[in-house]
Amino acid sequence: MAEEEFMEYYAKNMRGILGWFKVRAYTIERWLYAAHRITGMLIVLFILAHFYNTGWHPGLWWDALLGIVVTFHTANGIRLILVELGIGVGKPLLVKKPSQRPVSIEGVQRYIVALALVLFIVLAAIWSYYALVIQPMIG
Amino acid sequence: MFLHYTTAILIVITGLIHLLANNDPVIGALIKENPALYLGNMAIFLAALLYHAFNGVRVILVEMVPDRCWTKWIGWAILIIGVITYAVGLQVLLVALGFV
Repeated sequence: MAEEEFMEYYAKNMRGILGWFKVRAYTIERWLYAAHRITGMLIVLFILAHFYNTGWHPGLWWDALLGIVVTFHTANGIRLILVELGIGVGKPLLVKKPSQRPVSIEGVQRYIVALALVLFIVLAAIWSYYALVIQPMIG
Repeated sequence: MFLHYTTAILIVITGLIHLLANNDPVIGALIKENPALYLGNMAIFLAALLYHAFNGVRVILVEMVPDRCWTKWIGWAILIIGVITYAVGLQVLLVALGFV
């Protein structure tokens, strides 16, 4: 496939949802992108169920899992806002192929990714502790 | 995407208040002492959450089929569904908190 055709193929998003999982040879940023989309859709599903019955919660371990989903989406979302504001984004370089290592992951961005992941782990641990230990005690 | 990010920040703030109000007995009692304040928080939380969620779904659907006509239809459909959901959600809140 010629380079122009290759670029056009990706510009048309021919892979659709399957393209989210085409993460091989990509950076951690690409994994985070796919995970952000998946957690976002899971949260929408929870919201719809929660709207239907406002008192409904998945319960114990599922509550902890919900916490992991929500806290990941939150932590990665904060990282995305920082990127949108241009914080830690380096000079723009021409990326010729999707598999080429993007410049955005270099420099400060790497630390922001690490911080987002640490924030996610801390928040998920707090949420899980509350769901699994505190909530059953107070009923 | 500016509104998407703005609503994200609003969700973090109002969502935290919502979580505390419903799960922490001490802070929950303090928040629920003033139903108008709780309703205000929930009204903002619901609006921000619905905008963020439905806009996210819209972006995914538009990315799936990058077509101008499809984009337009999806945009209007999501807007109408979002407004109706907000109206129903707000009514449920008003009834639950004894305002109606």
